[in-house]
Amino acid sequence: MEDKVLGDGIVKQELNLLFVIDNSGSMDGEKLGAVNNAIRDVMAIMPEIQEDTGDVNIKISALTFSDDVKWVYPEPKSVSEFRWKDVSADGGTDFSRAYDEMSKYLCKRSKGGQMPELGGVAPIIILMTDGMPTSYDWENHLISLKKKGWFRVALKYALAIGIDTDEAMDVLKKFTGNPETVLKVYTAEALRKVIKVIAVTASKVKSSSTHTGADGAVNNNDLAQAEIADRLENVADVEW
Amino acid sequence: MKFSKNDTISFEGRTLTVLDLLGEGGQGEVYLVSDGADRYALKVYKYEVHPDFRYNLKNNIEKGSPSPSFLWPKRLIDFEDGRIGYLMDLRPKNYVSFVSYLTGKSAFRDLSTKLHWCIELCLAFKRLHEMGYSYQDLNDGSFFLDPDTGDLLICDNDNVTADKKNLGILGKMRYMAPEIVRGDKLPGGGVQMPDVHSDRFSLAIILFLALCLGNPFEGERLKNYDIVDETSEYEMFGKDPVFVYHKEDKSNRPIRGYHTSLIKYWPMIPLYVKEAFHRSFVDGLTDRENERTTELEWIRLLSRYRDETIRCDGCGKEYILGLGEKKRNDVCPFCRKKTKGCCVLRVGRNVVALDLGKEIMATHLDKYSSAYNEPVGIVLANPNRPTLWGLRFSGQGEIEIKDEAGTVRVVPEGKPVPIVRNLKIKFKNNVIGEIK
Repeated sequence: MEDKVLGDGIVKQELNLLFVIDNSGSMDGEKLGAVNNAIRDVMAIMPEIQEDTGDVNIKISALTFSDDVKWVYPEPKSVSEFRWKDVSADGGTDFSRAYDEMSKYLCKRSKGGQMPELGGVAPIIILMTDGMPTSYDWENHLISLKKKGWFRVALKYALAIGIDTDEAMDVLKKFTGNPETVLKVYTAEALRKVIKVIAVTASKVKSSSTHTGADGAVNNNDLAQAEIADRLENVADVEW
Repeated sequence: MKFSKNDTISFEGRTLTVLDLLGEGGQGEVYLVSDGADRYALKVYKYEVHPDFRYNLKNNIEKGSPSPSFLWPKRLIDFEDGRIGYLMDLRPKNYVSFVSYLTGKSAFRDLSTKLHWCIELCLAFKRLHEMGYSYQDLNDGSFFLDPDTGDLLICDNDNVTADKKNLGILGKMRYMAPEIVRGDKLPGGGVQMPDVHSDRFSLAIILFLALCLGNPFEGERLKNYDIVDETSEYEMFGKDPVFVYHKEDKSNRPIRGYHTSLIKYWPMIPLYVKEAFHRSFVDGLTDRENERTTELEWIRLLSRYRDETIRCDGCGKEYILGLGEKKRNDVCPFCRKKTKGCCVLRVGRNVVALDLGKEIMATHLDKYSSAYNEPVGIVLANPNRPTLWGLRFSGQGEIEIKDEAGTVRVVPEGKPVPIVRNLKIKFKNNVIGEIK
């Protein structure tokens, strides 16, 4: 909890941004190249977003999964601490293990997870993959993950990289629980842009506490989703 | 359509050249533009705005800025595609954002400078409200400060409207008055919209943030929520807000080890300022028209606060003498060094601690003045004998002084009045002051 208290500053809420990256063998080449590039782009813009908000501390985490799962850092890092290391590809696409890892992570620190005890806001989770799960029981693991409050309230996006089967799309729709936040991406360039738009826009919208209009309280996730949709309109090679 | 660098915009026979994109938000973009002679900021709305919004903006531009503290829209521009924008002056480089102060990235030079800023803020809103406007969307993102002088700049003035009118925006959750968060139904139909009274509530929140570095409604109750979301914010700031320092209801006190700054700074503010917060954040929750501390009340209280601050010779920090407390501060709250002996100037109801560098304001000597931040005198040390202090006034003409022994002397304009106990001072218009 100590890291939340700035010397002579106000206490800020904590906003977690999680990248969940499939680094199975098929992601090798330009797909992972685009992911690596995009996250670097995102990290270049993040300090500005952090600076503009008095409301939240942005914390970033990244999980890679193939046959194995690995957190880039064992705990969420602040914008100034997070350093991206290029991810390389190998192995299968074990969604089950990825979901288990996320279940463990999305708990309060006192319960063995990495979410704050106090003042945490709904996280942003961006999953990117190009294939079908190679683990047969992924759905059971997703059911467990969906029991986590932090997961349920999260703004979830899934990027389907060059995926064309309905079956594979269904896997991702089940993950986000919302077909509108599953995006098909066909080119490396589009992938790079989409990651950037989602991560940056969502952080920006969610780091300023709710602005409400006369239509009643606006849900932060809905607002972020609307802004992202708006910004992605001009990106080629993306399908909703 | 977005503008790119070197795009030109024709307007009122002038050509504006886009030099840079300064910022981007939900509403639109802000560009740095030049008309060849001067540079301006140009805000362009992303979508076509409602005709009422355009009319209001145009009207505000024509009526002009309430005070120099507002970075007020200057010229309305209609673009061919139906969108609109406006020109405003650029924010000078010496200003930093209030957010950067809140997050500990920049600091006021000292407490007096911070209080100067708070008073400027209240003066600006007093003026705005006097002109019949309400700001409607007061939040931490709109304010800027000069850390050395405490001067204020208020940006994002495009939602300012005539009081009791609303163009759709309600505000930012943690800064809104509870009746606006809840959307209270009005007896005559419709719901409560932001107005002068909700502005006052938000102003109190900004002052609380500035002085105590915490949110007045965020305390223990935060523990009831695993995740902070719309529901928890609605409950904490709308449905059932409880002031963290409520005198009777202690259920929402700041959390030790978490709300550290708030716990550190609250005890240091004077009792009369605490009472004003309590009134706004407890009684003002329900009686929105009568129990929310007004700008003028704040200005008087904050001036009184500034008047009684002294600087510790040990650590250099400023703190209050504690003239309105149950017990005076006999040591510095920061370094525990014994409080130095310090004369005070009494004029009418004002009591000003005569510490080195302390300024006497126009309002101290003229009760009809509203120039609360306009110095007319300052405490200086004698350059040859630094232990001898004097008060140098300007614009006060000759000043008659009478010492304890009854000796009367006339101090010419610009010469210092010695600071010695029991000296009586006769200012213009027979205003009498006394050094104690």
